[in-house]
Amino acid sequence: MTLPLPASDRLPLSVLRPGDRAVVDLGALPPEEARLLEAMGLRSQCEVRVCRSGSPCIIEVAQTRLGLAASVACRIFATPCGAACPAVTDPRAGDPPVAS
Amino acid sequence: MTSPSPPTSREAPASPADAASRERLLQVRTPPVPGAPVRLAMIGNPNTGKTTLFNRLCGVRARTANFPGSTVDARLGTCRLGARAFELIDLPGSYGLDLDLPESRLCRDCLAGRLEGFRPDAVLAVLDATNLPRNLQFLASAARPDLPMVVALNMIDVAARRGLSIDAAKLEARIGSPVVPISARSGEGVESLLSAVDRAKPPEHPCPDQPGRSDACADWASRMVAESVGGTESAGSPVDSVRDRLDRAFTHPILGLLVFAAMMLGLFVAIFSLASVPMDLIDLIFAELGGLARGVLPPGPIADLVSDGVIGGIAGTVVFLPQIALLFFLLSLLEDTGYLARAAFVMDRLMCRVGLPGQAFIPLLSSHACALPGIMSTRLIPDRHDRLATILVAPFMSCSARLPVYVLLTTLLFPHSPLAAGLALAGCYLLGAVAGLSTAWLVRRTLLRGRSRPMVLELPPYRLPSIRTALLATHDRSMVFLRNAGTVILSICVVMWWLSAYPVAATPPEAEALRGQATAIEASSSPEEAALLLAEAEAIEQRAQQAQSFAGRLGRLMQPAFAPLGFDSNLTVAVLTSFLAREVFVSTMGVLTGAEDPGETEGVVDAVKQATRADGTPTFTPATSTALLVFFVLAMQCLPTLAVTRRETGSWRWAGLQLAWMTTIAYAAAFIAREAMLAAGWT
Repeated sequence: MTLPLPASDRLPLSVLRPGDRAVVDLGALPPEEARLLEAMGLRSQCEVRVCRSGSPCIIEVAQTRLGLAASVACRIFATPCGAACPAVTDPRAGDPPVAS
Repeated sequence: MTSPSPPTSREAPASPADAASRERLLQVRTPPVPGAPVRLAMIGNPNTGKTTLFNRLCGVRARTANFPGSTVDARLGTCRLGARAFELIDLPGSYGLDLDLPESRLCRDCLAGRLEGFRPDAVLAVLDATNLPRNLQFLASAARPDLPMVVALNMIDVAARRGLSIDAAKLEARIGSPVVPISARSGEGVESLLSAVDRAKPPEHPCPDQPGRSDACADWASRMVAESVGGTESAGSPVDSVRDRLDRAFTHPILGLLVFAAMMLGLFVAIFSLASVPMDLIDLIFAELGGLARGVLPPGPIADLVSDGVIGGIAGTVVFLPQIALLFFLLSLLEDTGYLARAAFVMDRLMCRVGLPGQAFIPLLSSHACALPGIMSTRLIPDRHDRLATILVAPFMSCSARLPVYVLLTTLLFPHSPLAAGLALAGCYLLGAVAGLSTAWLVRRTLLRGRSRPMVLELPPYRLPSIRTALLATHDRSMVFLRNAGTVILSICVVMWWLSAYPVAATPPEAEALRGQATAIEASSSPEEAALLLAEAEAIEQRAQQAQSFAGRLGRLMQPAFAPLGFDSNLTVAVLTSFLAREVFVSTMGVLTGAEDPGETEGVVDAVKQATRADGTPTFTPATSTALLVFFVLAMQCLPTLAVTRRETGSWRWAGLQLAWMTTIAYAAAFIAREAMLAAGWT
């Protein structure tokens, strides 16, 4: 299988280290796998935190923790962002809290 | 409750813009028959507490239901709130109704009214309050303009502990359907939820079915959360740190394997040690019932049928119930803790080499106790091809019923070397596992070709397991097993019994003579000797019955087919009758060779050592014993397993393939083993 070459600032998710934060791109995945991951909460341009690298690669996206086989993680490309992460997946950051 | 008029299909009306038509859809629904239950379809993401809520509402008034054409099942149950009755269907957890996955298809079919026997009046969507963005995205994709919905905001207590505050009223106003905060574990808000069914309305339909729908649903969910959720859950909290460490340990290539091995060892030690007492009790109860039936019924075919056919047949299967119940209870506890999702990744590294997923390891390991619970536990495997491949190979694993046969034959092969016998015994287990994994590798590249579902799993938070949930899951699985035992398996057992019990053979003269001697000796106060004579007479009668029965005749008819393996007619009869259950082989050999106590392996070993063929040569030469041992390791000699395979795959086709493949492999391997022994001079 030939994997698309990542852009210079992008790395396969599988090589990031625990604690790293990154914005991911699912463009290299087959559509069916990408749809499943999107339904599970992992969408392109969302920020993730790596909890465990290698196989399985464990990531946290919003309040969900996902385990990904190495064959999947190596086809998800990620742009490390560290403290500069835009936190695009945390919609609560926008509006002030409303008490119930 | 608002609801559509009763069309034959739940597809959206032809003119959705028609205001009058839309208004009719929103009329308060009255059940068509006064007092008829309201049918609720429960949907939600996995790990949202949907089944916990279902169990709280329905308790034991629930059963597992299979639907034609579906490889996943759902649970049906009933509950009441005052005079109001509800029928619920607990649909499998799904990440999206538009995905091409079995669980998504079943949910879609149910909501569209296409499920036979269950057409929902309303949807009960269960959302995880601690993970609203993704759960609302699911809700948006599941919304149907023609089906009223009630939303259960579950785990509201956990969300509050994490500092999240959710404005349910605001959420309700934006979604358009009632939103009720609940805690399924504690029961908080559950009554209010059922009361809210009266207010159920079709939700807003924010993301129509068109290109880019997924993004539209996600955007809508984000807006909903932004408007109604407050508070923050800090990342990198001490809880996350502990969870990270546990995840790293449980999925570590070496440490994870060690933890998994320890867990499984504990699981199986518990099953074997705890199940033995109820298994013995079941044996005793059915023996008493058989005796009682014989005492009550007049001697004859009816008494034989009830005592040996029906009661004996049920006993032979129900005796496995304690193992099955314990396995499912312990697995349910483990699953509830969140550990099993991590273990699946550990095993996936090994199992993927033969084309099986990590989740297949537990069914295969369970099959070493008994293939029945092993096959039933393949429901842990989400992918259909993976699940079918695991079911096909599970009976290759050496179950506990094979052990008496292994002991008998390895003892015959190595009577003076316990070490060699032990190694041969271990070799049997290894041979079964290798044959099973090789078969899996083969079927995944031929019959069940295709990409598996990628190993992507949500790792739920660690938590204390719920005993109540585990007990209800155990009850449910046990009832499925018992229903199967009481129908398919019982029917097959009765037929097998009839084949071996009829036609009734005349009592041989030597047996009559022995009984006469026993009566005379008993009169002269030597009861022990009389009992031995009676036992010998009974064994002679059983041998005559075996020979004269239809099964015996079939054995003689089939003997030429087994001749290349070195089996004579007695061995062929024993092999054929053990198709009912493998362990029957030992007692059948005992009967056929005239052992004093056919039920005990030691007595049978002594008897079969002396057994001879019609020409006077020994029956059990090393070559024949090896061929027989290999045959038993690999053959599908278990009718209940076939019946369970049919049930779990939904077709006799897979059960037939399993039988044909295993028998062919067993025959070929046994033939090769015998020829190799003969070539090596082990005659």
